[in-house]
Amino acid sequence: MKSYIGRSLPRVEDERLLRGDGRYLDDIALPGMLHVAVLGSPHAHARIRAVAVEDADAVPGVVRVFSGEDIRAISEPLRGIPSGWTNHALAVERVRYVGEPVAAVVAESRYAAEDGRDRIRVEYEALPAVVDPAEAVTDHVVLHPAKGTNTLYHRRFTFGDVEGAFASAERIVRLECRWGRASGNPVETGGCICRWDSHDGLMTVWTNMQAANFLSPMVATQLGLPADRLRIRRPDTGGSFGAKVAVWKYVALVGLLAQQVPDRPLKFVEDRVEHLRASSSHGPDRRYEAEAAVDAGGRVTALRVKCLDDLGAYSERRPGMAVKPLTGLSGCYEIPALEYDVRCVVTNKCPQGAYRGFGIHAHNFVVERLMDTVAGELGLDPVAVRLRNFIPPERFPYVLPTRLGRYDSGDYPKLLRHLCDVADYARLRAWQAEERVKGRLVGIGVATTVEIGGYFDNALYAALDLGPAGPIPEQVKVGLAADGHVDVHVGYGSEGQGQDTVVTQLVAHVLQVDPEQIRVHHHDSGDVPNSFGTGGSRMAVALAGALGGALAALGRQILDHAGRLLERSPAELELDAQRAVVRGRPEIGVDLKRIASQAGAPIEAQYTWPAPELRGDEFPLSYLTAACAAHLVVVEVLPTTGQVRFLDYHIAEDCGTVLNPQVVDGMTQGAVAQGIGQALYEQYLYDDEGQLLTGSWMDYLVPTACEVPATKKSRIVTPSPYTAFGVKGTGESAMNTTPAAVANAITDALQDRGFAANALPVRPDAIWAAMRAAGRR
Amino acid sequence: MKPPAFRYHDPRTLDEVIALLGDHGDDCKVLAGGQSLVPLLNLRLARPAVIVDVNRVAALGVIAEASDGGLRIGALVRHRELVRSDLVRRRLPLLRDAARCIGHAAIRTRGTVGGSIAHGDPAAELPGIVATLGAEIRIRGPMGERSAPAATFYTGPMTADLAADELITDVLLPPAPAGAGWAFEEVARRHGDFAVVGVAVLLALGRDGRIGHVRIGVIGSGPVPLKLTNVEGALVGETPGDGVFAGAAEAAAASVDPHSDLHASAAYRRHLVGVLLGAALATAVERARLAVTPR
Repeated sequence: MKSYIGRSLPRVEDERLLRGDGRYLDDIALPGMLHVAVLGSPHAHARIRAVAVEDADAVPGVVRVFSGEDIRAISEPLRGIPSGWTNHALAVERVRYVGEPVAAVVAESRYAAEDGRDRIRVEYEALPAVVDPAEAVTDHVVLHPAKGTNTLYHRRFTFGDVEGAFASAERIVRLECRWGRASGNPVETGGCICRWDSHDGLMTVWTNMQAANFLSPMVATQLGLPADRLRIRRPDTGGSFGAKVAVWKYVALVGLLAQQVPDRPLKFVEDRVEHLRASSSHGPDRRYEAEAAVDAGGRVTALRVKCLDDLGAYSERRPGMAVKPLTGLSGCYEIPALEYDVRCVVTNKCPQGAYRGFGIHAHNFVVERLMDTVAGELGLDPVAVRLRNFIPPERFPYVLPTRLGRYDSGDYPKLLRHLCDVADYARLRAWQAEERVKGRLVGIGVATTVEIGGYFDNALYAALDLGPAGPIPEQVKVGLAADGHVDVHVGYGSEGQGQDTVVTQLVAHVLQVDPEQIRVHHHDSGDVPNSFGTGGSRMAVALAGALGGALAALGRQILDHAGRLLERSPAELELDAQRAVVRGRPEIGVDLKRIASQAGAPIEAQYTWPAPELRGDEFPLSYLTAACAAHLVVVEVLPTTGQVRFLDYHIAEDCGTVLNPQVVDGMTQGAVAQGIGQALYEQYLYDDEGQLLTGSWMDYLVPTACEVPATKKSRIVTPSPYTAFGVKGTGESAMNTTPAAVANAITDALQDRGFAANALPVRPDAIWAAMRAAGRR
Repeated sequence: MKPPAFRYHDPRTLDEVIALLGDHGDDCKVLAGGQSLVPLLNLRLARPAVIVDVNRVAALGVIAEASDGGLRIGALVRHRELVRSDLVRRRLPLLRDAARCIGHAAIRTRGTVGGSIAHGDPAAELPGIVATLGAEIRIRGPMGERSAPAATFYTGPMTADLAADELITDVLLPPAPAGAGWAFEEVARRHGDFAVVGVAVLLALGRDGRIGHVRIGVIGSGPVPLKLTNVEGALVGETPGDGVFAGAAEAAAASVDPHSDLHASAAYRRHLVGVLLGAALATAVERARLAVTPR
């Protein structure tokens, strides 16, 4: 038996993509294709008085121009949860953020479409913009008059005796934090091509939208179509990180336009400016007040977190990122009493959308900064504080006090001790003390996280009345082809995480065939197999589950056929090196090609992983697995410039059984880059009028390879008891950990210089100003 | 992000370029490396009726030794050529080190000396070198050739003494004194970003070890690239040392009037001018003492 699990099989996707043979959305040119340009609002908040399109209509090449009123006549407002907090696909009556689509031009080329766009005249009546979420709370200016308030969601969740724990606490440690608005910013922006076939009554959409299958019924409803009249085709996708979930709003818009310009494909692809200011993919934008009740031994007995989240102008999906922290509210720690007060307000900014980490990343930053603050105030080592508060290994499976989360397995003390061994933590601390005496501002930061995964938040949303419950199945179809290859039919779209490689490994492992003998086929929506696609760190778990079922069935069929050919009982046979052989006597066997060619009927199997419904006592649970990660970062702050330099970076992870270490490490390194962006560089900044100041990649600073250190990765393995092969969902743990680890390291470096990295991103001039002020005191 | 329609010319000779610029003047933009113009076109912030692409005018692409021993650098020379040129390395390593800080490899491969100098971003490296060294900018127009001195070339942020019907043909950089030391120090938010602040120093020591010749330029701290003549004057005749460097740094910081933006406060920029000048002076003096030939 050859094991293909746990090997760093080179990614099967790479050769084609690296040769430039990928076919992305904007590579697609269809006969008769027209192009769409969208006119965005120049105002953050204004009434639309009139939209005049006659001049635009007259531009050569322009086919048709649409305003919000044209869209209102044919559709409902964009669907959102809770309802009534959206606009139409083109704004009607009011615009609420800079860049909000106001009109659209369909033309023979994108050039002509933009020429037409320049000639649209919109008369606005400017309204005062609400930019500061604290001001939004006051409701002095209300964005959605029908609602009468800017507070879209407010709820206080209390679990356990929080009051009692704080009343009897030895010490209360408080912290205020800010988490800057950042986003996934995939290199390929979002878009779609929509073609309405008037003869067949069929809408065909080519799009890089994430979770296309999952969102397709909603898009169909938006377009007034039965679900089976919408067909989504997915080209190669150049990254998403959550950002391309929001592409659905473009599919809705262009789909509506296509119905008005039938039988011609209409293409819209965001440019970078549009993506930055209007993609509805901005991540969490939060202010936090947190406090921990601590006993004399440094044990945290209760945690209170108050979160004010600035959602931007609309809720085009749901405030999901604000409530997801409920599924991992206390991080890696056993804290018996928890309170989470979450308030989501609307402001005149681009709407939030999914971003990798999905809101837990911001929450975990606060928890991990708080643990370091506890350590600082008690004069304890941050590692020691964490070890004192970790959920002990014997408590797994661990049900959170929220009863909205259950961690399947783990050994957090072992993982952190492993990290400290690998990094030689004790020696590092001694070295740091020596260097600090010499005047170097070196700091060491540690942070940990759980990464819940393997399913999706539907159960949580249903419990909170934020959406329907419902299964999130994963379906695959496998078959042995007449040429001896194994065909695998999958339903997910791929944004670059290497699922095809993982699928190949699982198939190779179970059927004992060479990876070269395996072909992975992708399908349009509407065909089997169905899949939610990527999201919520679910793919390893879902694919292992689905393939485990399908391959078991396929293997049985193969052995049945082989048994007939070999005149043996299938129970005597096993699969080995492209053959079915007699156990213990591999010289007696028959190869898969012969089995396939003599079977007389297709050998194939289909399996739908049911995504087991998990139930707690009060609420449904949302996630199957909880991976864990611990980071240790060494930084130096330059005393003259306030710049932060990375000296070392260690990561230890436990994501259960690892299918492909290189794939996991690649996802982790990418998340480290995004975490460093969050910590030091990336932020959507708006001025007092709601104008976006970071409207290009010259000002919205995505870290490059030069800013991101190589990291030293190692792992321990605690298999999940609940999944096929013991795998756990993983990929985004560094989103939760890197910002906290970097902030803890900077704070440690500046321990006597008057600066704590509680507001991200941290700019060097802010560090310098704080150091200067401390020097003057 | 598509430009409005324009007419496009790609002349082969300088005379043709000048004739086209004369015909179209204000309606016309010169395309060289396109690193600033193309984004402006695509964002529709610039809407010229005519584009004159000078990339095929071979005469503009030369790096040569000038008659006075300095360097004559053609407007179409790419930043990458500055980095790789043996002549630049031997004669003016300051220019090479500054060019290394320009953007990223792709930008340096396309971007041109003339384009950067004409665009005149006050945080850009080459305008800074032009100001530091007191270069002479050679310009052709309908009336013939003229030379613009660096000291008066820039009149404001991205505005220069260059008419719409004129073209920068080359720039003359004066020779560095024998045994000169140099340093180019820059702080940017990320590698390859426009400088938050950058400082260029070129200096030579006399036989007595005192500073005999010094040029100091600053980018990112004013509406135009700066030459700190007052600080230069104060340094001449001084014996280099930490106290002198600190004094120069303090004087430099006091003499600039920087702005605040998304990436740095004015106070921080002012502080950086001093920090970077102190570091640059130390490096330049060390190089001058060793009379190092750069590798």
